[in-house]
Amino acid sequence: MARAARYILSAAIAGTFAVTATIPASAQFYKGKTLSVIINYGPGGNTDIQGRALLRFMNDHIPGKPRTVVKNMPGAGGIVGTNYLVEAAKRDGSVMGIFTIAIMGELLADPALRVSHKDLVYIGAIGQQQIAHVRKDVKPGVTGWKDFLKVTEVFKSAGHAPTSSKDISIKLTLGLLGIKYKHVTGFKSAGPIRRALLQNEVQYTEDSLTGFYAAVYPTLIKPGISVPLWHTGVPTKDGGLRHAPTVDKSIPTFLEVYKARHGANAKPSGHAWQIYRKLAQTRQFLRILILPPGAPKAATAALREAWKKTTTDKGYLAEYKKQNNSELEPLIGEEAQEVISDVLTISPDLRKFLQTLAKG
Amino acid sequence: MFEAVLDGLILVVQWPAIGYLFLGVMLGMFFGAVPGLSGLTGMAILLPFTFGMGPGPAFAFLLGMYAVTTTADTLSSVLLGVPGTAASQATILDGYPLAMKGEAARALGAAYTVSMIGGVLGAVFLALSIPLVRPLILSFAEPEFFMLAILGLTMVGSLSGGSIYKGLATACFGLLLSMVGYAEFGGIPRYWFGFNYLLDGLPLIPVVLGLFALPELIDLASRGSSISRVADTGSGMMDGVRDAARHWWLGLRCTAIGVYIGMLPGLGGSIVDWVAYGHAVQSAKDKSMFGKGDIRGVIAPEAANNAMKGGALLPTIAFAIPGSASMAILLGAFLIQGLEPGPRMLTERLDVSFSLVWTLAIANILGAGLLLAWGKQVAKVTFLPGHYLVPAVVLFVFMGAWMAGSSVGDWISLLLFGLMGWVMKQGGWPRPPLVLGYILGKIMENGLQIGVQTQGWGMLTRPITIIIMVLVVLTLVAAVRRHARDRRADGNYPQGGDAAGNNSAVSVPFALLLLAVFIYAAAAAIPWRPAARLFPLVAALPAIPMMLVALSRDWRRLKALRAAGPSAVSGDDSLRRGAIFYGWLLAILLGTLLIGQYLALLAFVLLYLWLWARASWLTMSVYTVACGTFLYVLFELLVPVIWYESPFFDLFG
Repeated sequence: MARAARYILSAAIAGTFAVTATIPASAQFYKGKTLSVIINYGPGGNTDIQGRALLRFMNDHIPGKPRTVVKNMPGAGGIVGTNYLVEAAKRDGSVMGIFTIAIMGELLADPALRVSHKDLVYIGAIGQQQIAHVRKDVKPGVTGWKDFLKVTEVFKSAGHAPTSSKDISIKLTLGLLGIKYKHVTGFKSAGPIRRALLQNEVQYTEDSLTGFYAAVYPTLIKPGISVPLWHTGVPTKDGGLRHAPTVDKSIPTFLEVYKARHGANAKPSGHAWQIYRKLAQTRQFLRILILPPGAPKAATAALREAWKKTTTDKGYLAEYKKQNNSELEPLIGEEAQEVISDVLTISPDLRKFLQTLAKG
Repeated sequence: MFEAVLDGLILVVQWPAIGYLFLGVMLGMFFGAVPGLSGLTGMAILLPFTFGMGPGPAFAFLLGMYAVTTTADTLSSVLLGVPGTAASQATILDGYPLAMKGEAARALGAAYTVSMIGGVLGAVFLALSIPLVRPLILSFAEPEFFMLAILGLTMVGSLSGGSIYKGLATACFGLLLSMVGYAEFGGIPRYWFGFNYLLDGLPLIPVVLGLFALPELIDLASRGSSISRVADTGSGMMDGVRDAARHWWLGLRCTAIGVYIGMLPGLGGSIVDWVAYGHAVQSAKDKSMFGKGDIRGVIAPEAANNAMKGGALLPTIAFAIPGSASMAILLGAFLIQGLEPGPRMLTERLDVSFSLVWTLAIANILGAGLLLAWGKQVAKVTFLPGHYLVPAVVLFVFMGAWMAGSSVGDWISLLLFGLMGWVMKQGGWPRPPLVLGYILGKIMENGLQIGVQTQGWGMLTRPITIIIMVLVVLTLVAAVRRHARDRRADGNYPQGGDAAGNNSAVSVPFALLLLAVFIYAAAAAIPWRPAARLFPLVAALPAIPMMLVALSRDWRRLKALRAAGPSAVSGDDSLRRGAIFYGWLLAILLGTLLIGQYLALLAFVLLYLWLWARASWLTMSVYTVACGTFLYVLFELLVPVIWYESPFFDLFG
């Protein structure tokens, strides 16, 4: 192979000139190599579009500018790709993942997920808020989030699977507000849920910021069919939630709505709130850039550096804003690694509560 | 409105959009003709190139490519018996037998003509439907999809050949296969045996390539003759064009079927050709030639699969509801262009919507025109000696399967279903019902689960559901009456591409194996949650008595043959040669695990030419180098894949 010959030649030249000792290993790591990128959702979805867009810009910042090959590995809510990256992918730095984190699989101890997110090496992450929205014709009529607290009709909410974070979030929030609803699950993706909302087969769901601005806003909000209610919010150290800078000011955090329901001084607590906080934390690193466990330090360093530079690349920031109608919420690898261990720590009784919630 | 139509045309024909449209069409023919690549691969690869383009050139480029993949996919379906994309599976049932009769050019001529007309009419229909789109799309929800899938299943009768029991049993097996993987509504994985590969279910392409392409390959390698079993008959593309004109009414009906199926997001492109084919068989008076090379079996799916694309655009642009992964990528292109898909696309940005219609129409004319011009020359491949085709087709089929997920699991699926397809062909078990069950199973289960959650069992009393239910009953009654009449008339069976085999010595063990699978599947499902076990039980339990009937018939036949003498049972030498060739294919997989995929494929080419084809050293060298270069250029440079490397060394870094 010409490529193999090139490597040998590169190695020979590098060996001849001992200057490599003065260059960090990470600076040479990807020179002349191929970086395979696994995306754990199918082509055309939010993860895929965001992943391919960021790769286009990030590649310019990886020293050595490797050739990138993208492979979609969808299934079981992102679990197939996650299993693959830990169990089967090469650990030599040649395989990277751009995933939507399958956090619920791990918190619920889903038997299909055979690996732990703690074992992955984090390059970086992108946060994405979630926005809840409802049809305006739910009785007696909803023109904004305050009206939603007065609904009398038992409406139908829609999700993907009992174990998906969307379904769990819907059940938690509506439960904490004490609102009656009937949950419908099994929709393959956000598209069929939008169809069901248009058909008035279901009335309520949640969408990520990307999906909300790209598809929900033009098809449901702008034509006056649905209204946005609240967004997840950013967890604060005092146990509260602050408004996410990426979300429009007119859309409150869930905590603001909770307080409107239960009183200004009300403080949510208990298992439901603990799980909700974990979900809100997860929203800070919804899309993760990762390497398999045991990846070479030089590869990790090269990619983390490249990701850092990408998060300040004006071209990427402009592209991100165009696609998501909001600013980028980045997290650097070391930060993500720390936060994730915290989120994944769960007591047995909290896990039991979560499993019961998923079944119910 | 008229102004928007003209503005849309100007968006497409002005420079550089028209240049990108032409380039897209050329690329689309390539993505369609090479098995496994498909329009979806093309969309994913071309999308990043549209960054920085305006809406006119970007959509001309993407849709120009996408429009013609289902025209070009006919090439490998007809000439090699290998479905070019998922939308041309049914084309092989009659297209390949026509090639075997030396009438490949005729089949291609008919296919391209109806593809062009279907594609253009689909675009026209898209334009005319814009004002009606809302009520049309919004009246179909999960309960209606469930009933539509049941209506689709009634096609099994038309696709079962001589044995309705075998047809129904294999359809049930297809339904069961569709349940492999993670059951979203149940929240549990089913029939995955701990394999990560099976968690997302069995991918369609390796299954279909295995069931249909591998048996033909085994047959070709065993025979060693050319694909065409007769000398050049002189039939040309124009014969096919005349066939298309003669069967214009069938073409038009299948165009309508294509548009409607495309318009209903959730049914998907992989079903459209089967429904159209089933319709052609159901509505034909003389069915005896179906599966043996009936031109109507080519016209029906090819008209439908191009027309489907016009319909599929509607829910994507009007409601941001993509009906397929390709349409989801197109939705991504809208975002990149800063366009908002939704009702405003049909009012304020009507010019852009019409530019999509124009792109589809122009691309279909351009693509089919070019293929009609070249088709006669390409069809000559069917007169080449088979041994020189086999290595190249093996590369196509294996790499086509690899494109599904770049996993060894794809090759294991390909080989397992290849073995199954070959045994089914020999034993007279119809394969199309299996694929139909496999594709419809997911739609049915999802439709029922969500329908019951949103509507309760009242889902069955909705007006459109009732109308479809009546159609189901009428179709069943007609099928039973026709089946009884055909049995009396003897021989008027549509063969569904499986006319060749009826070897009871092969069929009986296969039936026993399938029976064991059904019993296991039912037993394994019993402990699951009700939502997860309902469908596996519905698929497996009725199949058991059908299997017993089919088994007892084959058993009686086998006993009768035994009584006639041992030579009647053992069959001919082709079985033995087929089994040996299958071993060769298996060796590609084993070789891959040792020396990596690239070298294993080339080693197969070299060894096949040397030991099987007895080719000269010069031929072997030139052929192998050409295959190596082809694999490298196509799958390393143009459409990069993640190769399976040897555990001992890396070729591709």
